[in-house]
Amino acid sequence: MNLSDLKIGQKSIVQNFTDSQMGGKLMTMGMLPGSLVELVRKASAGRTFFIKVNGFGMAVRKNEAANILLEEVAN
Amino acid sequence: MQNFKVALIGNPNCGKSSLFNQLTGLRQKVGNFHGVTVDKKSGVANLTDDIRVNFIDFPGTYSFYPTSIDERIVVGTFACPQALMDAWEEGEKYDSILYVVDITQLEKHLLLFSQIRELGLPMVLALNMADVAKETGIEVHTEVISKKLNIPVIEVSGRTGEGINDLKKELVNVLLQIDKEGDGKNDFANNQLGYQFSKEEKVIAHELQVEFGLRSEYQAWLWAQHYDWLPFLTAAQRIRIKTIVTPEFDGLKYQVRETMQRFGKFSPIVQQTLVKTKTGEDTFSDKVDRVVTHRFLGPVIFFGLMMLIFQAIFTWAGYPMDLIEAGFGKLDAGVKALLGESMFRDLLTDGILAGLGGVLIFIPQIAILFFLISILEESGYMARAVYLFDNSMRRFGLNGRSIVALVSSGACAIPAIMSTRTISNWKERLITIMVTPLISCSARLPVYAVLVGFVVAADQYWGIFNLQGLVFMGLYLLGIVAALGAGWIFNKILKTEETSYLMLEMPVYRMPMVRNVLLNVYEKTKTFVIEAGKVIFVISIVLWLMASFAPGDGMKLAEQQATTTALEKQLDEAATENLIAAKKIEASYAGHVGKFIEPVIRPLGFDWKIGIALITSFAAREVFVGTMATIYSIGSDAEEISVIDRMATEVNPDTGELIYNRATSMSLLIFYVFAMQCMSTLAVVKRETKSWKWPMIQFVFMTALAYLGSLFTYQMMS
Repeated sequence: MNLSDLKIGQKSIVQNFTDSQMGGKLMTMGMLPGSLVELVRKASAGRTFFIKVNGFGMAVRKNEAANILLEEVAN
Repeated sequence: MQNFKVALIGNPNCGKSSLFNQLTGLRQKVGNFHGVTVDKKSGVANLTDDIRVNFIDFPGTYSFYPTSIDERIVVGTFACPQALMDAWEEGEKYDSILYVVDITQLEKHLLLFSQIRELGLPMVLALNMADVAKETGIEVHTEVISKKLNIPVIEVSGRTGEGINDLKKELVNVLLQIDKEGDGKNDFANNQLGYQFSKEEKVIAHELQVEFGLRSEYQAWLWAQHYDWLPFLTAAQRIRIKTIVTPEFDGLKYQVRETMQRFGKFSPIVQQTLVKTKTGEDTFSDKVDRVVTHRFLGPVIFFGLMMLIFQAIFTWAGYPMDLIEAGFGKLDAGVKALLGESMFRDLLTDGILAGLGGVLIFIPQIAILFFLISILEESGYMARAVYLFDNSMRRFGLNGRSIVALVSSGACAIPAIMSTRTISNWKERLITIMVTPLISCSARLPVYAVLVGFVVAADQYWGIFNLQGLVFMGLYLLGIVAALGAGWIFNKILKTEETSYLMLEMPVYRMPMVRNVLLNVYEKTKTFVIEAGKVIFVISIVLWLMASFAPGDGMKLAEQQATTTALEKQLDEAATENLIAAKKIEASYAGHVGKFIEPVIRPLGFDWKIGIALITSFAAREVFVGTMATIYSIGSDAEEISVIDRMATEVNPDTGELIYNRATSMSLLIFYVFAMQCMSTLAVVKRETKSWKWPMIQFVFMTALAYLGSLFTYQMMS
């Protein structure tokens, strides 16, 4: 699953990135395979995500989130 | 006295500027990095009686894989070997690097550190935000880190000043060990953070290293990754590198490999040396964010804040503005008294002083707005605003980050345009630059203030709302709508392959540091004064010339005629002078131009007198009021009230009707909302976009918008 599938309040571990350019940038910002991500809330009709990566806050677009592959989480 | 140059480097949001401010205090200045429009902050500090350091604050950077122009500076500078440095730029050799990390984000911040480490410059590592670490229960074993990374490590707080003296001591130690003749080597053979190349990478790196005589393979690797834009390479070198690097070079793949490997090396070190003694997250920030980033409340709060800010500006700026005006009044009178009547004196008072005064009077408004915006930025709130509005901004060709520029433009478009440097996507940045000046800036206010009275009386109310206030708000709103609309159009027209992204850090809220805020305000206000000031000053002089001279002996004739008329009407001395002034401007070059454009502006409800004011407004919009006063023979240092009174009685000689009726005034207002009359803005746009193409396009579309808007308004209302 990817980050855009996550429900609000859910957490998971980052596995990989589907777009390497975006992935590269995210990694330099501290989001690596193995990092813990949590979806805190959404804005703009669900198109912008407020997430936490290992505890620090980050804003990403839905299409950016769709790039981030996560470990499966039970719904 | 020994002089050293030290670079301050670190991630965005690491508190580097606070540290920089602590070290250099007021002894700092802003310049430019060579060849790019990126601010370069430098400041001096005497670490000991003997040692003076010039600190250069580099833009916050995540890694040697830059995603914006800002970020390119670091790698662009340090990928350049010392030897080439001389040929490329005078005296930009750095003796040492002071690397700053946010101790609460230590792991994240070491990526760039591990990369720079390989380039061989002596470094000192500052673990900043020690105060926050204590509060949140984070402890770092600095001695252990220091040993593992083979580098001096100091805990500091840019906010409280804690550790600064120790930091200075360590820096001095490092600097004194530098062999000025030699090369400041750092041995990386035992350094655990060195990047291990894969076989195919090593081939390329090694070949480049040998070919160009570079100190390390890693530096050669940077050349391989970035040779197409590294500023210090010659065309010949680029071609050579391209052949070595081969077409199959998959930069991205290697970037990912390098990033992961590096994290893999320093993450364990961090985990071993950093201890969290308190558990639980930072709940204060979370609580605030629950409200402030709420999907509906969030934007409401933002707009509420904006209204409060603008309200505050109007109430607070009045007094200092009056002071400045009074000051210039005295200066003007003083010069007039000191010098005898002459062309030079007029140039001094009506040209230079008036021009200067026109610029300086905006300082209170601009300073206050930037003060408030700076607080929002320093506290971390602005990032939340970007989060809330990014999606909405996108359909107008803008980025969430554009909101900072749009809000700042309410003060002055010039620093607003400069703030777009954080937008990495070229198209988004360009569109932001193009539409930002449509936001009503401080300079338009005097014009609005004078004209609003002709459209709506001061005592008219709509419910509890003062109608004049509503019209003001409407004008601001019009600017915003126009900006978004223009953005939408540009978005359809301009094409780009470049991806746009948000990916923005939203750090924990922090108390804004007064020192940082004040320095920030000082910088932005200074920018306004100098950038706008330069242009306004020159144009004021040009316009003064145009208004003071006439073809042939037109001036003399005008004066004679005016004097005769004054005698006939038995006017007193003051009134006579005013009449002479009015007739003179009518006869001047400016007057000629005004009459020349009259046919074009008549459909907008304007006459040649307004035409003159429109022209002089091209120096700066607020000049409108002074010009009006002169034309209506009130004397250019008149109170706004008298200008308004006089304009209210002005009658069209042909029709016998009032000139400043509702329709004309509204039309003039609309013109000022849209028109690009600020030459200083155009100059800055040129500088930021590196060509005259875009400022020209901007000028044309805004002027067209102003003309059409005015036309429509006048025709509708009359």
